[in-house]
Amino acid sequence: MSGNELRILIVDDNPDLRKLVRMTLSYLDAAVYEAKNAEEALQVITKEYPQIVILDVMMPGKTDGIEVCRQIKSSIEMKWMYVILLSAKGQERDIQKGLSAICDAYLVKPFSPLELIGEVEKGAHTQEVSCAITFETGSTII
Amino acid sequence: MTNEVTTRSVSIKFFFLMVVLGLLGNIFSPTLFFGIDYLFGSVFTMLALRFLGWKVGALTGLIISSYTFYLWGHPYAIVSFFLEALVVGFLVYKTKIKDYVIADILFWLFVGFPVVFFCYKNVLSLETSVVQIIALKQTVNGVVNTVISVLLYIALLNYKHYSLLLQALCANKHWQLSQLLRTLLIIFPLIPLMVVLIAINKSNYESILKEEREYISQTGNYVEAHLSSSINNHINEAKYLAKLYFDSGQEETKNRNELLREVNAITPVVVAGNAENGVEKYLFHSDNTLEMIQDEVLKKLFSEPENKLSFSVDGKFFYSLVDMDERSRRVLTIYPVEAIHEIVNEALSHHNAEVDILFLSPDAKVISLGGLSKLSDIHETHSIDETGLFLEPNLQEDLSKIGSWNQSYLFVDLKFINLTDLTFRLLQPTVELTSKVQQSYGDTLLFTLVIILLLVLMAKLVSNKFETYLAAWSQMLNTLTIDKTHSSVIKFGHEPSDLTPLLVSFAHLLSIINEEKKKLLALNGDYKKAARQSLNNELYITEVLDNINDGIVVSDVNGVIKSVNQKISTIFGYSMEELVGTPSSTLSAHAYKDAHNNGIKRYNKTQKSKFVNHGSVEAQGLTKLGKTLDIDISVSKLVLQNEVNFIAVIRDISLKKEYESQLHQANRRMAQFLAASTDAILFYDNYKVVDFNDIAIELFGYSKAQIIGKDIFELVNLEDPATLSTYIEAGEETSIECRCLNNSGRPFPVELIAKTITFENKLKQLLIVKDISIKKANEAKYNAVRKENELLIEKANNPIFSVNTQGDIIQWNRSVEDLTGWNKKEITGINISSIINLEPELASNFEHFLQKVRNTKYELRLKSKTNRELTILVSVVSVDEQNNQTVIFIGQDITEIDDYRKKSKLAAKQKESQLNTIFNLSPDAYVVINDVSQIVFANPAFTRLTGYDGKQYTDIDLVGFKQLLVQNCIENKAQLLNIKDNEEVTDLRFSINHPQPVTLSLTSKLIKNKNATFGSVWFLRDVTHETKVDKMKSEFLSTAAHELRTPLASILGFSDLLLRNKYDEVEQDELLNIINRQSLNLRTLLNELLDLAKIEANNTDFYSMNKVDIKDVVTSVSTDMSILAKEKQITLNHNIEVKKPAYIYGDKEKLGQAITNVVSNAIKYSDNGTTVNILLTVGRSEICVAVRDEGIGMTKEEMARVGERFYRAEKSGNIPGTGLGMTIVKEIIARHKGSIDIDSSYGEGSTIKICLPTFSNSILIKEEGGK
Repeated sequence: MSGNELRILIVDDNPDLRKLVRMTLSYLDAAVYEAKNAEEALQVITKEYPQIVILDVMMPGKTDGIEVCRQIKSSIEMKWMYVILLSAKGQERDIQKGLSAICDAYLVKPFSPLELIGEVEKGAHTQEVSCAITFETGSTII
Repeated sequence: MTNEVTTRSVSIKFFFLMVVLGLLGNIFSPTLFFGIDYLFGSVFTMLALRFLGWKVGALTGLIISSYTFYLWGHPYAIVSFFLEALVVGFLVYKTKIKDYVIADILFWLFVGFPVVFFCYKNVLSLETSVVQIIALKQTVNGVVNTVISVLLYIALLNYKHYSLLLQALCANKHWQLSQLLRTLLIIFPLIPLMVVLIAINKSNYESILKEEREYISQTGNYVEAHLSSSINNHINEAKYLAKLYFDSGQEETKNRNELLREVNAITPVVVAGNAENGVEKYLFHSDNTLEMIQDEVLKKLFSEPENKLSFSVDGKFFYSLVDMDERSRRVLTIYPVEAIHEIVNEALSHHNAEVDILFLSPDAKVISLGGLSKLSDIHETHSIDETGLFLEPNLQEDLSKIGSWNQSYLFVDLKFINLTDLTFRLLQPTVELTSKVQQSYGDTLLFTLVIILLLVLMAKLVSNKFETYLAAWSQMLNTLTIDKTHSSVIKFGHEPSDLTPLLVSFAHLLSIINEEKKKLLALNGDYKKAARQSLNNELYITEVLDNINDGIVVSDVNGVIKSVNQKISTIFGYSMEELVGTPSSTLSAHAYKDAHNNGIKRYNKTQKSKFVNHGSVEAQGLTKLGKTLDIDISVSKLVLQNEVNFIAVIRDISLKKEYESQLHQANRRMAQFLAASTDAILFYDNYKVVDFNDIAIELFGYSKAQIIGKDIFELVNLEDPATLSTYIEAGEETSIECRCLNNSGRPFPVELIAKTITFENKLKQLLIVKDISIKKANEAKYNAVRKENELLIEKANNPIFSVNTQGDIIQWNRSVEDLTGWNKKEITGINISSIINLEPELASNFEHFLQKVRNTKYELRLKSKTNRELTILVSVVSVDEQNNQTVIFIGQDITEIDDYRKKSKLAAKQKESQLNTIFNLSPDAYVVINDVSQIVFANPAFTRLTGYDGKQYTDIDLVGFKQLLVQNCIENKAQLLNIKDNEEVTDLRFSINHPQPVTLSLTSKLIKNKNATFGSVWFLRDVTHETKVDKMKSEFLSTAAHELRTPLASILGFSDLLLRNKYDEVEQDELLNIINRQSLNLRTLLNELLDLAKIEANNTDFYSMNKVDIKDVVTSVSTDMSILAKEKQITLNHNIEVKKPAYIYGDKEKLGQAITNVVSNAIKYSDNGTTVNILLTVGRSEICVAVRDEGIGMTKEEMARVGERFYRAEKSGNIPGTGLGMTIVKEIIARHKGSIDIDSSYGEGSTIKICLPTFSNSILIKEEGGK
């Protein structure tokens, strides 16, 4: 197992949004995994051990994104992961709610790809994994 | 002599035989399970005891058990087995216990077990559960061995060849077959039980073993995972480190130093290079390690990429990893085994695993030991036995040196963690395992064993005892027959018991008694005749005595009562039986008892007494109930049948005494009376004075001597003398008043009373003369005053009248005449109750009424002569005059005031009922509180909202009321509590849950004027609905916002991507499609929102009604929805039964929207793969479209609320929707004068049926002006 690559997981019930994130993150030297609900997400996490997890707050099923974030943060083997919560609710109360679940970052839909990349980069940095970002236009950001 | 020698030589041979056999028995001892040995040595010890005697037997035991020291390494087993031999021998030889098995059981229970416990636990310091098992095992071992020895003994005896020989040695008598059988029977249950227990334990042991293996296996997995991940991390870090060095070119970055520190902690060497050049850079190294590891070694390590190697240098083991990164750089990390060790330890401690680890080199040599127990103290290398159960003796030695006794280590599982040739295994000490088993079974075994041993003991004892009893009974039976053999000894195989002699003599006694009885029977006839005769005489005498009116007590010379008659029982209360045999002093009062007894004694000594034969004396007796009694007693001597007796005649004189004292008292009283009187009292007989008191002397002025014998007419000198004689002769006892002349001739008024009384049983006449001059004077004064008063009253301005105690009017002044119109003349003597209105309970009893109003003010209602109602406020005063009581009413006419009062009361009542009606109507609660914080009013709405009824709240004050609210409060409690008494609150919202959950809004206002506060009013409004609707609205808004943002995110994102990058055509199309789709979603959402707004505004303009074929609508909706259905693999069927058109009157677009909403819901709330059916039915007046799904369904409560704005059933939480769909449908269908029917069962599906009137029907309805 080569361990230095960046692994990112995106969890959202909306396939379009997953596609969007994947395409946005394709400029990073990273492996992107997808999950469409909380159960799948946990399966992928325990299998692939991504360093960064992007969670949509509103999801069908019993558990929503905030609950999943809590589960991640309270498990010894998973709490070091960097969790970014995505939500369409921009109201004050929801931001508070998100933060209180000790997620590492919070983004409000709609977001720009640069915002997302910025958060992912921050995350990668704290995970001490190298994160090379290259856009086709040729600029390379490390 | 020869015998002796033979015997002795046999003994010696036997001794040696036993020793040898015993030692062999111990040496070849089988192991039961988990290391417990079963030794046969003590079988031979027991045999030696039996044949060679106590001392030699004990010695044999000592020698045989000495082997255990070699076996187990301590002398304490010797102690217990030696003691066994000693104690059993002692019991068998020196006490009455003959049975070896019993003796052995007794030993183990009371001596052996405790000794073992003490030695093993306190001296050897083993765990309690271990010691339990060991003690148990030894006990069982000992007892079973003893049993075996008994069996052997019996076998030997029956083997004739040996029996002769052994008889020479035998100390005991024969054994019979019966005894053998008995012994076996008693011991029988023991063996299978032990076998069963062992079997159970074995399986238990195995299951625990399995558990242990699994546990270790899991631990192993975990450790393996942890180890590989740790090592992988390190190599990654190392690679990164290398990258930093080579690519960044800067030597001083913060990151790198941090990393270095981390890496350093684990690996002493990190090296980077590549295949061609070898080591290029030592990223990190510690000198020691590097010195040891030479360049060739390093080169070799480098030569193959992705290599994992273990190697040893100078006996120290290392492990190395080589990895390549993407730029074909090689990074090498080298770990000393200790480092790996540490990692593994870390993993174990995280996992809290209680296991040990052995690190093995490729040739299975132990490199190091670790884990959480004491193994890590050993650093030497040892070889491991591959079969796994025990380590080599060397290691075992070393392990035992650590201080635990005989811990065998168990490889419960072998776990290889392959770091290429480096393996390690996980161990657990067996004793842990053992203790687990022991803990679970140790107690049960112990308990079972004790019970078994006790049972065996009991059985033995009982069987012995039983035989004894049988013997005794059979003997008794024998002696009770005519046969005279008293002393038969029944052979039972052993000595007769001690009970036999007793039984024999008992039987003998019985036979003697029988003989005597026979003799008596013969005499019976004569005896009976004589007895009958004497009995008759007795009865005659008794009857005579009983009829005498005095009590008779006959006692013997010592004063003990022999007989009493019935009268004594009556007087004293004892029954005759109770007294016979008691001393006669029982009947004496306490004060007389001693004298009584002394008297008896003295008489017996001196034959002299003051009382005996001296007539009667007065004394006191004591009844059964303890009452002292005055009695008259006379005692005489009586000689009966040459015996001296006393006969006492007792008479109850208590009554007599009573009469005497009464008389005495009466005399005294008379004297007192005479002395105390303030009037003159004269007793006369024949009209002459015979007695008088002191006052008489004073009053009449004569001396004592002069008065006696004087004629009363002379003494009581009346102005009119005839009066007195007339009065006396009249015989009436009423008093008269007349005037008397005193000594000096002056007249004064007197009152005379003549009486005849009975005194000392004689009639006495007396005359009481009272000087009433003062009284008369007072009377005159009084009359004068009264006359004055009457005048005043008459002239007074206030109405005043008086009545007597019966209520008859006595006085009636002018004022009241004027007021009432009744004239004095006509009203006097009439009872006042005829003109006054009293309350019913007072009217019945005028006296009662008078008592009630006496000395009070009272509002009296009168009827005037003209029957007008008058009200007078009267003060009532009662006056006593000359023994007549008069009640005076002094009044004040308050008729007008009263009328006014009545009117205002009525008005107030009307106002009150008006207000009450208003308050009762109100759906909101009102509470009125007075100035002392008490609740004085609450309307019915209050009861309904808060659940407190009228009775409750009038009893509590404001504080209590607040507490009651707070008790049920589920929201905003704090604010509620904080309300101060005189605080005004506006719209304070809180929720309570009793009697129903409601949210209330509280507003309070103080009732006050400029100067003071009179209280406050609390107003509670039910705002539950309001709050709910507000909440739903805000939820809807937030949901709506989210729903809008989601498609927007996609649109923005993908368009952004498209701008930034070049994509190929296919991808571009895909992305544009997504943008398009999401934009459409957004539009739909916005439309729904707008519809909502329109519903709110209730705008009817946008319906365009036409003749519409509903079939078309259904078909087009079905087509539209099929895509959505396909996505969820839902089968969408539409079924149109009729060929001809189904016309209705309506707006095609709106209807389409309605049906779309229903179908969309059906699809949304159904699971994948289910079916949705649309059924169109055409009737005469109605056309119906039914949509049926197999989705999540609704409960009854949910069904009722479908169509409520924003309402979404609970389960639909995560399915997108606004809660408006059905509202819109309802609105549209209502506009079309149709109906919606919802049928659903929770979890199974729903059917929504929309029915609309047919076109023809609608026209009719329209013409009639609508429903």
